Amino acid sequence: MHTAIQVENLTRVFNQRGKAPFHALRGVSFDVSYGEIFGLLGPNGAGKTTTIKIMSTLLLPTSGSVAVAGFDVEKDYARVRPLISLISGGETSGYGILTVEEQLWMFSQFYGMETPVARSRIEEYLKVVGMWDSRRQQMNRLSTGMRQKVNLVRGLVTDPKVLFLDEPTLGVDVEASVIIRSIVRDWVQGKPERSVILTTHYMAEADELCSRVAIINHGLILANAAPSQLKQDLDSRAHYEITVDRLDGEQLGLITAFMGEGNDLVLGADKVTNSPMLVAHLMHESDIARLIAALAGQGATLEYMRKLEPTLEDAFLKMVGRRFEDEEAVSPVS
Amino acid sequence: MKGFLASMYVGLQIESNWTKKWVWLLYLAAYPIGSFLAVIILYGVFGQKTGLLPYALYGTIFYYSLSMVFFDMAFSVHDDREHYQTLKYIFLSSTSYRTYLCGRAATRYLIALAGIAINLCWLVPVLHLPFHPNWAYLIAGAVLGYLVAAGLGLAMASVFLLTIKLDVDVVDALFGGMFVLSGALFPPTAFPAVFARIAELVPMSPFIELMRRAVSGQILTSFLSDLSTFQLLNRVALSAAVLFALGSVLVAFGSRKAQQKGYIDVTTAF
Ligand SMILES: Nc1ncnc2c1ncn2[C@@H]1O[C@H](COP(=O)(O)OP(=O)(O)OP(=O)(O)O)[C@@H](O)[C@H]1O
Ligand SMILES: [Mg+2]
Repeated sequence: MHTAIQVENLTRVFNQRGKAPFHALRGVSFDVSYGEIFGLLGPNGAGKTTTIKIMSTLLLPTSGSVAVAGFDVEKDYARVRPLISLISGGETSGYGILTVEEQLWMFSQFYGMETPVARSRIEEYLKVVGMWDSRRQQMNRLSTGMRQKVNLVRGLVTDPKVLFLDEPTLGVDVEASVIIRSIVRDWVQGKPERSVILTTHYMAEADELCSRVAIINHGLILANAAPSQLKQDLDSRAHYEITVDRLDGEQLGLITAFMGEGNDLVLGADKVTNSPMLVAHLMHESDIARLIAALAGQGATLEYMRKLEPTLEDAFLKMVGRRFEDEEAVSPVS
Repeated sequence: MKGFLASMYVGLQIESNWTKKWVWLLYLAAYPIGSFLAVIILYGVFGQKTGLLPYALYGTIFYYSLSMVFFDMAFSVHDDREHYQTLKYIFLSSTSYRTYLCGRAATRYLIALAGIAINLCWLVPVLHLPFHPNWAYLIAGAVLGYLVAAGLGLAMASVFLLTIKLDVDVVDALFGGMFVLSGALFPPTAFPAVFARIAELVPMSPFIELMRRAVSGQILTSFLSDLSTFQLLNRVALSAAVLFALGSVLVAFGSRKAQQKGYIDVTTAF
């Protein structure tokens, strides 16, 4: 069976009058399987929206190819379109004078759906997003969060195989974001042939939803892996924060020597209790047992200990930051 | 077909949903008056002796009906892209963009025709206009006229797909210019022969003359009088076929080009 999406060596150049051609995408490749929520994570101007627009047939690539459900987006776009839905965040799309229900019904008709089928799906999804009671409201009376929920329902009503979400929770309050995320997660699991491509600025969103995340910057993919993998790859060491009743610099030196090369220990003080606090960066998670034994050997009693989990944000900042440095080294500013 | 009807529905809602039903009916009737009031003053008051009032009034009214189709198509692109931000979602649906534009404009056209019908109810007795309608010609003419205007409208829409900033003046000038040249307002035969030649080439003029005859039951001036009404109908059918085909090709080309340039969802705020 074909994968949901195959992107191969995608480039896109924007030619603007009076300006040098702008390379928004410089050779992007990845693929997405059915059942996956795939995240594109990157800073402003990274090329996320450009990638989504090409995948959803709104924009043609300069070179490279994209296949959605096995169809080429450039040549077979008429076959691709009925299989996908696009939902962009941060916009106020919709005919303001129509009611929620009318607006959704109208779009279902653009997909040639039978009215009874459309009506029952609209009811189903409006109830899921908690907007069934607002179905007779005019679009221009809705809050941003409500509009975005209607936008999501519009995308789901046509039962697509692939859902493209471009910053779906941009400008939406926390509560509505939670609802939108949970619906997206449930939706993917509803049928085997479904997948979601999501772009986001929010690390937590990518971490929570995505089975895989590609980090994109300056039109290039810097990494592509499961969020947990990304966090690990960047920093394979295990980090602990340990508060003890007493520990001095001399003892620390002895313990550091005992732990060996590659294991770093930093001594500080707990902000609240002022007890000595040790931050340990260990090569292997199992080394923690040796460390605790060594502490006990120095007569220190453990007061508190926790493992420090790296966040996707740490991974992201490191990766993007490192990329910036690389580039500056290669091409000095002229 | 479902897409076409849904598009007609959007057109209707956008046109009518802003007010109560009876206010809207009043508006429907009052709206076309602006288009022909000047004609009544010009020919009914100052130019009574010319006897051209029926010619110019019918001409203007039917030109107005086509202009509704044309302007609706031309401005839909911009409205949907910029104001409603729905253009990209319509593009991505299973309904072709041409069908969508045609559906919306069809509503506009029917509304315009209804407005004309309402106004004729008082214009005919008050101004003693000749009125012996030939319904077969009227209906056939109305359908073909829609296709003529739609062909031109689609061509205009294709231009706007590739233009980010809306230039209303250009559209106004274009359609206003054709209004003067088409002989809607005065018989071009009253001027040097070139005018009549030009007028015959304006795509709307055979339609307008056909509708004049179909409503009044008379040939009102010598303009295009060498053609029988049936020949006129054929000429309108020919221009409808050619223009609609041309418009369809252009809008398909414009869509592809817009897809290439990334103009389908571009807004001026960008
Ligand atoms: N039509 C266009 N013409 C010229 N440049 C463009 C066009 N569209 C996008 N760009 C440029 O391409 C780059 C990538 O844009 P894109 O919208 O894909 O970024 P993004 O990752 O979605 O960023 P954001 O987080 O701001 O949404 C940007 O620098 C943008 O200015
Ligand atoms: Mg973006």
